Amino acid sequence: MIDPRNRRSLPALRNALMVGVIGALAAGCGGDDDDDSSSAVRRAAIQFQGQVNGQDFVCGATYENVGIGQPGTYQVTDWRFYVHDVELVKADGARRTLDLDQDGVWQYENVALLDLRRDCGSGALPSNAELVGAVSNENYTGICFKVGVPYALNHVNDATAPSPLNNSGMLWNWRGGRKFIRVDGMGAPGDGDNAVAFVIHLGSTECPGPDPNSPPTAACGYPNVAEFCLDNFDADQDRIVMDMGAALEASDVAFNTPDTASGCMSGNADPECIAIIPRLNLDFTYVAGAGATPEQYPKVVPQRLFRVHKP
Amino acid sequence: MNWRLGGILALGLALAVGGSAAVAQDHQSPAAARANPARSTYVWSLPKGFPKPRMFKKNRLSEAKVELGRHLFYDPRVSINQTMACASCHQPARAFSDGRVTAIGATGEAHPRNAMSLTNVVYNAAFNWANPVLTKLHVQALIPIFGEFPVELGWSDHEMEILDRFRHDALYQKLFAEAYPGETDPFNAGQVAKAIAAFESILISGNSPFDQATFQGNRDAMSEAARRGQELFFSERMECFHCHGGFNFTQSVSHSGTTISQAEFHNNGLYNIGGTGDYPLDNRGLWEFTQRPADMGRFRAPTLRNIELTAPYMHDGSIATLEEVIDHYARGGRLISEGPLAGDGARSPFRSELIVGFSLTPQEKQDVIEFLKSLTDWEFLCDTRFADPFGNFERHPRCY
Repeated sequence: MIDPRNRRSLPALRNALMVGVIGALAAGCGGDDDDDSSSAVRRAAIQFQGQVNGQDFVCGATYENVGIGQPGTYQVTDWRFYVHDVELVKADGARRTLDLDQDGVWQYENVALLDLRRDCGSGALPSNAELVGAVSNENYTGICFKVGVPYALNHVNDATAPSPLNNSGMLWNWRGGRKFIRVDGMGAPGDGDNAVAFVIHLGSTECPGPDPNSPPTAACGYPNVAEFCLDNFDADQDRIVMDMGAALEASDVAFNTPDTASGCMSGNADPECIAIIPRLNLDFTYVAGAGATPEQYPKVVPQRLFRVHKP
Repeated sequence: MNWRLGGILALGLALAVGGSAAVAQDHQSPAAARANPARSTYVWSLPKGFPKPRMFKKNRLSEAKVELGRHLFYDPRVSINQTMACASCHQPARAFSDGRVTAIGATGEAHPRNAMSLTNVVYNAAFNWANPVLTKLHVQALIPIFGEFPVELGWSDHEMEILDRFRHDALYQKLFAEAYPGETDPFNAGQVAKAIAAFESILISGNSPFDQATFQGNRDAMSEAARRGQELFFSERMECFHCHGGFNFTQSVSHSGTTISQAEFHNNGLYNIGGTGDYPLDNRGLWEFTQRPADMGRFRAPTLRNIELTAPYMHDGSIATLEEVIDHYARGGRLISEGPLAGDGARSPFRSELIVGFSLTPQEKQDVIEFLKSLTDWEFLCDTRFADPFGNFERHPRCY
């Protein structure tokens, strides 16, 4: 299989045009779909939906029964994440790459930004809840994708990076790369002094390098890129639900260890990450401080962050 | 009408005034363009690692337009009583800010907000401190020109009187003709605003010690203390970079490669009047546009470039020094214990999730300040291309 990272926009564009032409021919033939069935590729638009404990994400809404703490209320104010290496899976397990359209905004090479904020700001924000591209015209029963940005594209100068890699709100810094997942929120919102900022920012950690504004000198110690595979998925009808309630199921969202990042920002010394990172389909190594013995927290299987939602 | 509505009015004026002028500009005669081709275009010489600024069809840059704008920017005749130029609030010696807590207009009226630095203003996703609809610099320039509450330059009802000063001046006849070739009467507010915006667009700072270390391979340009401060600045412990990240040290940026709106606004815990989250009546930030509770006290995070020279800080100039700014963020908000503004900003229900408070040793605090000072760009501050052609507004003493 061709490494998608080596792909440039031309093949995707060509595929898109080919499908368009074939589609037009099929439509023009008044129901004669011989051309359609013989086409090498088909279009696909993979739909995503944010939920918290099964309830649709609405920016600024407060959800109940989140995590293990009291009162368990959680308000969500930002929700964006990158995915890459999207593949549809056949019944025999063979995978076919979804060749992402190079739209100049949400998708670049094999990476896409899913941005569910829509009504988070003053007025409607541009938002994107789908992956759009072309895939080999076969029958599929599942889908696999990775959350995050591949190393080769993660540590580039934000000022000159192509969209969506230049999204400033998803940037950490040059060495650390992008936030793979950004969900901002508040535990016990509106509850006076009990309210606690509690966010999830996933990204690569322990990226070696002399300073934050240079690319890392070697691969990051913890890339924190996880692959998710979902069965029984019909790309034409189903949605993929990302449920942050599952990521937070073992957290007290109204408590944050003093002097550590709000919620979990992927830091290996952040106690709040112990309950969260393993629920993002990633092993987590917790190191309390200098000289402390690293503690291993393996990923929770099966993952429940993403699931298929049937219409 | 208050000063915010003035902004909206100016927006309308921009459409009315700028519309016809733009048509004329875009259809300049080929003969005029041929007459002086070098001055009819503008070639960016951008700092290493910087993106190309956005370009607006309605205000294409040219050397001639920038030069006209530079004259207008520094000319006190642009104000109603000829006492005040753009540069009065945006002084070159202070990285184009004014050193006051809040600005004062030509007729002495106080503005509720601190005059912002114009460093890298061309990269702003939105202008003013908290105006989500103001996204074009040549539209912004009309606000200080026409604003009435408070009066800034005082053009309202005096437009012709002020324009005539330039219309009958030989120097400006030449400058306007070169900036707007082929136009029979370029002496209007729209073209004044566009020329000023053109000049402001080129105020690009990208050669600080930080830039030399980061983009030019000269690590020694930053001191060891500044490098230690950089690590702290970009740490999850301090969280500074969540709002002040990226090449321009603000997430709220826009340039030619930007496709998704990045105009962000944050409440940084300055006020929590009576524990309700309220801000002072004349400074409520994004809330003034939306009336959404969550937008109370949300302002645009400004660039930190040249921040050493732009004190006092915050939208209302209410923090005097960088040391106190760091103390403010260390506490996670400001406590005002008595008086009409009393309340603990750290407990505001609308404070940004990304402000958490932190503790620094005195040495660490000094390191962070050294890092902030490594963003001071003396080449920019002393650049004669940005200097006053009339010699009234001096550059920083260090430039001479």
